[in-house]
Amino acid sequence: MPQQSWETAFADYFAARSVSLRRLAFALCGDWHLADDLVQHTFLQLYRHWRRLEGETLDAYARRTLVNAFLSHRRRYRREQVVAEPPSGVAPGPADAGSADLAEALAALPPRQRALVVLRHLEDMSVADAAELLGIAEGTVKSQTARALEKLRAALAPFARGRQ
Amino acid sequence: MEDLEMTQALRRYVEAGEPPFSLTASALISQARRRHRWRVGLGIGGGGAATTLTILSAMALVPAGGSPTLGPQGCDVQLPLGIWSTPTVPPDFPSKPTDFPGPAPSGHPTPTRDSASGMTPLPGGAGALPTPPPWMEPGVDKVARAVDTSRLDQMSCFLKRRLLQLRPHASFAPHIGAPMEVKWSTGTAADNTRVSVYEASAYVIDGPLLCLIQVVVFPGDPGLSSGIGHSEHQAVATYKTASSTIVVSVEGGVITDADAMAIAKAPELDVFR
Repeated sequence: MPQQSWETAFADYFAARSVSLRRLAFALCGDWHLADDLVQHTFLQLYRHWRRLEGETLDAYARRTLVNAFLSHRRRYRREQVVAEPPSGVAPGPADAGSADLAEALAALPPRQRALVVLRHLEDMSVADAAELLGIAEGTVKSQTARALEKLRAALAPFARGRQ
Repeated sequence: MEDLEMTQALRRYVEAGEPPFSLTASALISQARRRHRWRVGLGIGGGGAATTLTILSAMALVPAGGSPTLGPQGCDVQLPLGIWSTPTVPPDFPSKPTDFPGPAPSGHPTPTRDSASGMTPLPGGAGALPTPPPWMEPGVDKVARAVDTSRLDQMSCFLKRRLLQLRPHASFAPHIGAPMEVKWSTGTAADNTRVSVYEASAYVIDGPLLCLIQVVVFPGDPGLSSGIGHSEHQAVATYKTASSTIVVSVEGGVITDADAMAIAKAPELDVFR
């Protein structure tokens, strides 16, 4: 395939999927700057392997790359980065109080449980697909998701009561 | 909260207050091409070499504004430095310089820094204690000085020796700073205290292989356990001692999992002992 052709296809895919992948990344990490980094990493990996990927597996590959990058980041770089200059612009926080509560509750979850909640409830992935993506058993997906939802409900209940 | 409510709450969370997305397809493609050229230039791909650059000294590879990397005192091990060609491109990549977006290649090609690792070369001459950059708060200074630099020298020297044993025909190119010299940064531990983090890394070039190896050492982290993990193209060996957590990350299978773990277990890497 000529380069221009596949790069056009890559650019089209970016236009079609970058926003939703960015939202997935933000749901995973809760930080727009990091979300942008994760999306960038994902698309760079996609570009690298584009010609070997089948069209029907692109979304799965992109999601897997993104989630793995998030989990890897949490595992290996649980530390602040030292930079000479502060980042340009301040990343906006959640716009409403409900989202702020959810952000806090999500942040308290272990990374894999958070990923499962996001994949199952934001991305609407099946148990089987989530299990395949994370390389874990379906039973683990069910139990970890249930545990995460339980924690989220417990964390969000006081906020919900407070607003009533 | 029911499942449907959770879905709606998540959608609100990710959609409300979403800042503009500055990344564009063309910028991504430009960056991807640069990375591709970098990899290809290091020897992975085919095609004709336009220019051959030889790394003459580690000094030339220190990032702009940085200080020379601390050389291991008393370490006589020298890694053969990598030679690469730029740009060496496959036929389906544009070869005219005007097709190469972004800044023109500099005299000493320094790979793009990974956004996830903002490492700082150890400042000062041989034997000097690491001095934190001026923008860092005073408390970190004490943390950084808690590690004797002779241990960092041992770490660097051990890694060089071991890599030469494992890959006797390999040459090495810089990832961040000179190959397998120890760089220092600070980070936040699980209990929110500031800690020193030491990293040594290099690209290993051996025949058709080009792989990145990174060794990161930080004080013990209760969130990590010893073992080998794998992600795409990467193996990560983690080993915890009483005082240090050592993470050896290997891309592209340049050394085996067992060798990665053996490196992680080496007492020379337990710098916080």
